[in-house]
Amino acid sequence: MEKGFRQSMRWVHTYSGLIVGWLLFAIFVTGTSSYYKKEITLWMQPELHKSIQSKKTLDVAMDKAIEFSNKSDTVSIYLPDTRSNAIRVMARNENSSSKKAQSGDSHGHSHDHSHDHGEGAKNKEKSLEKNQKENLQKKEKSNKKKRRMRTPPKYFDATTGEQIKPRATAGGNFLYRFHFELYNMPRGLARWIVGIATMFMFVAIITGVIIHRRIFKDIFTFRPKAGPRGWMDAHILPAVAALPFFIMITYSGLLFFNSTMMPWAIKAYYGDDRIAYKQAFMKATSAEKPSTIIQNKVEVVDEKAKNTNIERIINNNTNRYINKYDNSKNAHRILNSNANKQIAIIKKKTQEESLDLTKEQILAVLKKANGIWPNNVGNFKIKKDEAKKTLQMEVYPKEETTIFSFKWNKEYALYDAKNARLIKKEVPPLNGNLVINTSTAFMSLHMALFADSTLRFIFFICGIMGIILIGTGLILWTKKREYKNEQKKSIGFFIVEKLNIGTIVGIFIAIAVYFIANRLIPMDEVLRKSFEINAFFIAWALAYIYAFIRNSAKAWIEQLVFAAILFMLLPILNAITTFESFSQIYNRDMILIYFDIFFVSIASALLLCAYIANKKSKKGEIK
Amino acid sequence: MISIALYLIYLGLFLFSLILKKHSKEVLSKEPHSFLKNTLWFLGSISLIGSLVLFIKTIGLSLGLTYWFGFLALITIFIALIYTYKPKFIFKISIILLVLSLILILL
Repeated sequence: MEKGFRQSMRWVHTYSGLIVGWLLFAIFVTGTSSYYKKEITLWMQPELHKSIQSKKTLDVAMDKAIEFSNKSDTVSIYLPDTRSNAIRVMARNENSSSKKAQSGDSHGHSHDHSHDHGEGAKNKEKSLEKNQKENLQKKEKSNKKKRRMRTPPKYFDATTGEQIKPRATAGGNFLYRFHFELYNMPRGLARWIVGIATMFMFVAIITGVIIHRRIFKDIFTFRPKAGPRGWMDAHILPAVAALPFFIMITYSGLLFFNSTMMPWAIKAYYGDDRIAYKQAFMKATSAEKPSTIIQNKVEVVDEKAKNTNIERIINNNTNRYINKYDNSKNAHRILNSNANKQIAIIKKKTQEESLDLTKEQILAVLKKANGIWPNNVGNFKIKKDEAKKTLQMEVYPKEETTIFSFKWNKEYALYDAKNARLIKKEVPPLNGNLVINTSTAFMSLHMALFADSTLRFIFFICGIMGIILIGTGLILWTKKREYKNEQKKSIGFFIVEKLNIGTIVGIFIAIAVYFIANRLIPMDEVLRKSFEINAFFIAWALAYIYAFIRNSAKAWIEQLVFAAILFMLLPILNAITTFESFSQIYNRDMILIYFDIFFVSIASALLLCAYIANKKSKKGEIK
Repeated sequence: MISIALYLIYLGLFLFSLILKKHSKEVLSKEPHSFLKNTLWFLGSISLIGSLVLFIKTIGLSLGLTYWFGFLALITIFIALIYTYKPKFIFKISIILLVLSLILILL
């Protein structure tokens, strides 16, 4: 029975891996590159490369903060860090946009009262409600789009403060979106396809653990010279070493699709009202923990009351004196001194009520935040509310201190910018809801947004292990059937072999071409963004065509060498198109130097693969 | 502190590898007897648990666990590659790594 079970599991493992293997390979390659999504976008915007972090950076950032906060309600300042080298500013007028949204809503509601009553009216009412909801949803969507459209980030040189206008590029975002939404496909359908592939991957992981008898005995075993056994080792070694990573990345990947693939719970509760669900979700995730610090609000109110009291008393006194000693010198003296007092108080009041930000205020807040996160203060956000007369500053740590710090629940400290008082400090998780927290932890681990550069690199290496795992798995299928195929040619074997070449090497060629296109397409080309993406897919398609028309052994070697040449070209092309002087080779941000190192390393790895393939084809192992 | 935690992961995995017949033959030129096996198992477990505790103490529970699992994968591959290409040097490499981690902690 046990033998039968293992054998059937082996079959499930083989075919669950094979059917979606090519898609999974592409997902893993693009997904792994997404750990460096921001850096890829930066590399693809060479206009930003000149910016270098210096002692002046904070000063420049503060100037920009003051400049933008005069015009906008909310200003986010992103300082250069290990992932970027320029100052990024996002400014928007939240209140005005929400006002507009509200006015749009009220317009929608105004139709409520125009209903007819009667038998047919109910149906009419229903359809009207439906229409209204649809309209609302459309408006919400368009508002969201407008908000996004209205606020493109502005970039500034980290030393000179000069504005930089980077070229249009999809950058790392294209690779990131591709790994879960593919491209040019209805979003729902693409998510279903990727979701199903993820499910197959999960099945392959579980069955893989079941069929691998010597999981601990062979944990450190790699025999590269042992023929098909060597391929098996190359498949098993990363699989076992990074098993926790694969389980986490696949399971969390599935969790991202929960509302697409398992919508019934949401439907049962909210029907088709996605907005209500989202609102409830946001409310649940932002529920405050009792330990959150909230202070100083009462004090501020008291002080204001005190000031108005003094003012009232002084005014009363002045009036009394004027009535009593009209025309007397004393009255004038008293009046003058009272006026001075009043001026001083008004000055103090206007200073407190003034919503104009100063450098001293920003520095005071940042200094305080440094007490919470020593040498780890990162970006900050200025929030101005004209109606409430508040000026607040949110400060974020450079490196997160918990993995629960995720998109909708960031770790931050909120200060009153006028007097640098801490209003609250939030360290996620903010609620005791285990389900939400577990889900957030998984999603956060998947995206590694919390990770510092070391941890990000570990995730990246684990991603590479995943690429090796899937790649060797696909090759292993053909290796095991090579002998059988020699006896009797099979179309299935032919297709798998060709698809292997087209996918495994093709995607690397496509990525290299995507990067090259970024440098070669003219700056003023309106459609340069889509041209870059087209170049990616054309290169990939050509890799498939070449694989199908060329002898397999030769196609492997030639494509590997071609991909290596393309990657080797990238640092040279980068230098030709972006360097203004020779000193820029070393005098630039480390991120960009790492890119050159990465290109050379990946080219060397591809050349090594080509060398091994060439050696094996001479021996007759690859035909 | 992290460098010591990293070394403890390496040490734990290295001690575990010596329990395996194949690797102990390569490194010690003999099969380990059951007492040695138990000792290696015990010491290896202590090292790994020790490294996990150090990670959690230094950078917190959630991040510490994530780091620990990540490095576990990397170091497993590292040891496998040593056994593949330079099995005779594994003792020397272990000593060099120990010295390196001690230097790093002093810096």
